Amino acid sequence: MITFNDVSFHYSRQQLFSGLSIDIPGGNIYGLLGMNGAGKTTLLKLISGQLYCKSGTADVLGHDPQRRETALLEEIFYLPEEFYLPNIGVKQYLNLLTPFYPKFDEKAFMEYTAAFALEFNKKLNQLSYGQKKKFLLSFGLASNTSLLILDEPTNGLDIPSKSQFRRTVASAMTDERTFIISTHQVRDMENLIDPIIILHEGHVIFNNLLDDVSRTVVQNVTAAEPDTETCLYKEKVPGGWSSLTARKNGDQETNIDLETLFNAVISKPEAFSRLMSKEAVQ
Amino acid sequence: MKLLYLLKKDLVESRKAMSIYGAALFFVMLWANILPMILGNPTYSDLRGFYLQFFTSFLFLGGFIIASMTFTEEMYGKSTQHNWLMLPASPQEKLSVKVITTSVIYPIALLIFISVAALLIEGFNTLVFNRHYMLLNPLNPAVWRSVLNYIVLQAIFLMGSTYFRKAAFIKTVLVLGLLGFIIGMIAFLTGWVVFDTYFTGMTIGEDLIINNHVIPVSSPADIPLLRTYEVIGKVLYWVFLAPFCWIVSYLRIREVQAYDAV
Repeated sequence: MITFNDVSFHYSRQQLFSGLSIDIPGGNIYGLLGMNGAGKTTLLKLISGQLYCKSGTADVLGHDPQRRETALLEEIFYLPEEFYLPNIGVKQYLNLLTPFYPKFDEKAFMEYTAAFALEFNKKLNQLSYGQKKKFLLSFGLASNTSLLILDEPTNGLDIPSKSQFRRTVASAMTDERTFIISTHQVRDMENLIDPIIILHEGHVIFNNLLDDVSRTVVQNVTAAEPDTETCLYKEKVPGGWSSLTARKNGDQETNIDLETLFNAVISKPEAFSRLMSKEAVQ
Repeated sequence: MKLLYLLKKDLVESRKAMSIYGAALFFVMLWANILPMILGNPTYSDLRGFYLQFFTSFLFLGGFIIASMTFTEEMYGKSTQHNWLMLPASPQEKLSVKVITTSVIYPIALLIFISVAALLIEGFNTLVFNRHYMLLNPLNPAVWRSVLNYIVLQAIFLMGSTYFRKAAFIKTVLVLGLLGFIIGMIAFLTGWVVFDTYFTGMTIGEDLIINNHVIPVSSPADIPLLRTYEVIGKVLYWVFLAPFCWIVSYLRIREVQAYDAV
């Protein structure tokens, strides 16, 4: 689906990726996490062909994204964090844009917009930021593209819309589609994104299914501070300490909090890498 | 088919800007036309050439400005570039539509617009002032000569809009001025060397000015090499200039990336 091999990329003076390799098979909703400036948006732009790799090879849906071929662009819908909508109505927008997406499903679009409680009595550029985002999200989901890229999709959405977002995205998922969601709002994405990809200092330091994580580590909340040597990561939480430790035989699997997992992986990338590769071998 | 979709999208999205341009054009034309009628008697040549001059001015100046803005907004705008890059159409298709819009649709639309507006304004003039300007004849060879020249020259401004992210029109004019100066200097020096024998000196001698008339040392028509250069120049201008600019524009469109947005 998406394969990057030994890719490097830099802006004029700032080296961002060096020897970046990643394999993203289809049929999942990937969560792309990383600290500010880790290169999440840049990676999404490399995948969609908006930026070109300086070296290495990239393959997206069997195409070289740098060529920006129509056949590839028809299969990608990318909702960026900042976007532009023209000064036209919804009907006209559909009329102008849907011919470019051969698999666009207008019935599904109407269902998604209804689920987001969108009304079409205004021109698109007169909608609020959140409404615009819900409109584009509905359009992207209804376009039925093989790859849907969402950059910070819950920014600007109100609280009911965030849960509606999770429901709608989950309902639009099929085996033929792949969604990549880049976000800082991991709580908004709980129970939606899986596998998790973590980008840190120009490298993919984590690319695993949450099931594999649950089989490998356990999360405990204790009143007393856990022993630093036995746990992989610990952080103070209201009422005690939350910690991640390597799961031993007999330990029950626990739900892993995404925020804690992210902090843990960022703080000890090598330890997690060793642990997860052991799990992969087993 | 995709070209038609792109064309439709372009025309609908630029509808508002074009309406404003059309309205401004109409009122400029109206006032430029009626004021001489009110203030005095326009001359016969004014009455005869008004619309042709108007058409030619707006074809070139307006057309060049429009061509210069063609790519700057969509391809380099911080908020608009994403849509441009991700729109499922090839760079060839995206370029072709812009070429069709600026070099074919614009002159034809302008010609129709000025012809129709002229009919309305001259109807008014005849009723109020009992005289009128000569209407624009769309079949006048001068109109189509201008259109052909425009098609060739606008390609330069279209290319400029793929390279300059801001103030593309001014920058293209500056580059053309600079290039003109350099080419002029090269031509002058080459001419000096190659056609040395035809000149009696690079300054016109006193003996060549008779009764304030400069007598040419040698007519260009008498110099075969100069005739050859003239033919080469015409071929370069009419056959190669526009396609060259379009190819360079295409290459630029292909290489533009997200970090080029301003």
